[in-house]
Amino acid sequence: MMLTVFLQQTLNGIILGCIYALIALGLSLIFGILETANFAHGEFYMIGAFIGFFSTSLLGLPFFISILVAMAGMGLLGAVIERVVFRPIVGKPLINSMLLSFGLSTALANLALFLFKPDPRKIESGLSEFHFDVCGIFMTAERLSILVLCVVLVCLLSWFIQYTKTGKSMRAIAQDRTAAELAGINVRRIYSVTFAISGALAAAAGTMVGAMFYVQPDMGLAVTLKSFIIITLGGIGQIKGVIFAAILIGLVESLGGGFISYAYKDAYPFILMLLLFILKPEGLAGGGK
Amino acid sequence: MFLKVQDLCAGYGRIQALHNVSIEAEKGSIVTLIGSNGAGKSTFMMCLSGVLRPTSGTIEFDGRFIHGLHPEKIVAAGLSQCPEGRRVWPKMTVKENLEMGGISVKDPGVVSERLDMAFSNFPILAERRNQLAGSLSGGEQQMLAIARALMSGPKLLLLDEPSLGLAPIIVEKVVEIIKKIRDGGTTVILVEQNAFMALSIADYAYVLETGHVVLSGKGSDLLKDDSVRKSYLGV
Repeated sequence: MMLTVFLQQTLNGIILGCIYALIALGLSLIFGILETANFAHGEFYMIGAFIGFFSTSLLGLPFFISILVAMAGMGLLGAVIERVVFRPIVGKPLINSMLLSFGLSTALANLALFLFKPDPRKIESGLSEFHFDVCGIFMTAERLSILVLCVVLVCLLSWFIQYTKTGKSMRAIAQDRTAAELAGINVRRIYSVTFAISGALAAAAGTMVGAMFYVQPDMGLAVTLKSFIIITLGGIGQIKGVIFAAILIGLVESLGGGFISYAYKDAYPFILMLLLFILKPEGLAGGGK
Repeated sequence: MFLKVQDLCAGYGRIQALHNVSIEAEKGSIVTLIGSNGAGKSTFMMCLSGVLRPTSGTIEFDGRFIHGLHPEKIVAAGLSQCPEGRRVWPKMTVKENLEMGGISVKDPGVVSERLDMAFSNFPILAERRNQLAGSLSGGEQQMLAIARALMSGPKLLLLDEPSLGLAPIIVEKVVEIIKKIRDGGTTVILVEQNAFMALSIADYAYVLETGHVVLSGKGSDLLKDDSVRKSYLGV
């Protein structure tokens, strides 16, 4: 019985961790390339979830198409927000972007509260009825397909950053922005693309969470904070480190929720972070930026 | 005139680093700027590349005004810079560094042609093409930085302190490369603290002190000038 609970919670934790990875990778991209801390990242995730919700409920689109719609919509909005809000403070000290994005976060969350009301809503994927049991471990088709989609998106992102011209430009800017400008890279275009990718990944995650749990205007803040923990543990700009840290946080949250108390599930990642800062201050990947 | 800079002023915040700097360069020549630390040489170069906005003055390059353009537009217009301190991307391979240098070139055929040319001009880079740039020696990184700046096919190449921190034998090699670039038809603006090296190869030279041009003339004439010999050549 204990073993079954353990395996079940481990599986749930891995799925949750994969979703966190999508969110944290986007945050890490923005931090690494624009040297900007985006505290409104959780609101990108929330807005993406609402786009996903309305595209299934109002437009009646299938779940996976809705994820794509949410990604496209939030990607576009992300690029607009970069241009209007963040572009003017690029290159300024970090405190500027921290304050600005915190304000943006509050504004977006309250705007959503005003427009959509605080009631939790669920995205109907139509896949949660199909499920299977293996040795008492329960898995729905919805969760399985979410897991697969997360893996596909992370692989696509890694490929994009490693091999495409735009991806290489992103890496060049992260390593030396002036050298990138001197080489003829259109830095402003890359900034827009980075925000678009980051917004799209957060939106995909939001829609997935909206199907597994709920969509609410205040769902962003906790996710923003967890994402910052993840990129702190994993190392900024380190894709593998971030994925590893995200899964670790997912597991801690899920196992803590299953074995200690579900009520404190949001506290476990922070406790883990404090412990790691005390015991392993160099970070999990050792070094980073 | 191929490059004509007039009354250029620039600075950082309230500190003015350049005061009415006027400089010209003829096509196919090597023009050098010498001066001590903090004279404004790198500031001048960053203004030419569009990374720093001049507060006043004009920059005319190849028949058009380029001050106020974004850096990538200036590279596309045919002006590229190999910056001080080399600034290669340490966590990218030699080949990736070079490919990124050619990002302003639309035709992929031209990029691969230039890549082949870079590898034949700098055999050491061909050997190390898949190594991370950060693992190269200082001299190799300088070669990479110059080769990267040439990938855009510039008509005017800005070289900022290419001899800095290099062993004398490598400096000689860099001098050969600069001459070769000039002979290939590319105009070169060379900023150097190694005044003897710079004046020996320059067609024309400017001396910069605290943001002002204080002296100019043929490279060979400045080599014989008493004040230059005292201040910059240590003789």
